[in-house]
Amino acid sequence: MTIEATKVIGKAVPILEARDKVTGRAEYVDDMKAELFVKILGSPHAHARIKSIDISRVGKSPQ
Amino acid sequence: MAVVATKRMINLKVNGKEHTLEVGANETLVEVLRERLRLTGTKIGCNRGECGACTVLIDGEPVLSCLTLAIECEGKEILTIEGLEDPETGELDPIQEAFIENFGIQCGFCTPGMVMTAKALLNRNPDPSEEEIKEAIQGNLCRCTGYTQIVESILAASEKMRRC
Repeated sequence: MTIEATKVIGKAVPILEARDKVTGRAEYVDDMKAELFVKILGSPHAHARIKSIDISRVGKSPQ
Repeated sequence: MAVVATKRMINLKVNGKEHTLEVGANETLVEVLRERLRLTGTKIGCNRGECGACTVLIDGEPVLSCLTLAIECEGKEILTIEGLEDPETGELDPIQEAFIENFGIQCGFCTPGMVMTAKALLNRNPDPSEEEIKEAIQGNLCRCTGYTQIVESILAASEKMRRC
């Protein structure tokens, strides 16, 4: 197959998100309104089945 | 004891729209644009006047909005990246089109500042040389280092604008 016959290889393909970036619409992390915090909680039990997760204390932390 | 006014009501004209806001004496223009008016197209890169990501036009001149206090802007015309697009038709400014067509964009973080600097340049010099373009954008850093395509984009934009 020649290069001319391919859809992308050897072609200048428009950048999909270019319009968003050039208009200032693209959202970067610092542009997001809310800031969330994540904590990864590991299970104290190896090879166990999760029946439920108690998130009541987490729900009380400041939004 | 003297009472120091720490806040003041100001009128800001941004992209043709009037806003009346109470701003702190130490609030920068970029903070007001981003946090109060939610115009987050203007970026904060370094927040100390080194990177140019926060460039906006005030009365047609490119300024670093991170080093400009909002209260200094009373009665002035501010143009941000959001104001370049035609609000009715969604038509882009020829500079924006040229950046898309000439791959003057990589991560996009410097793009709004670059485009605004280019806008100011082409307003005062519609036919700049490559050297003049490089001189104009020397205060805008692109950490993807896509400068070649950025200069090509601005050259293409100047041709586009002179044609129409």
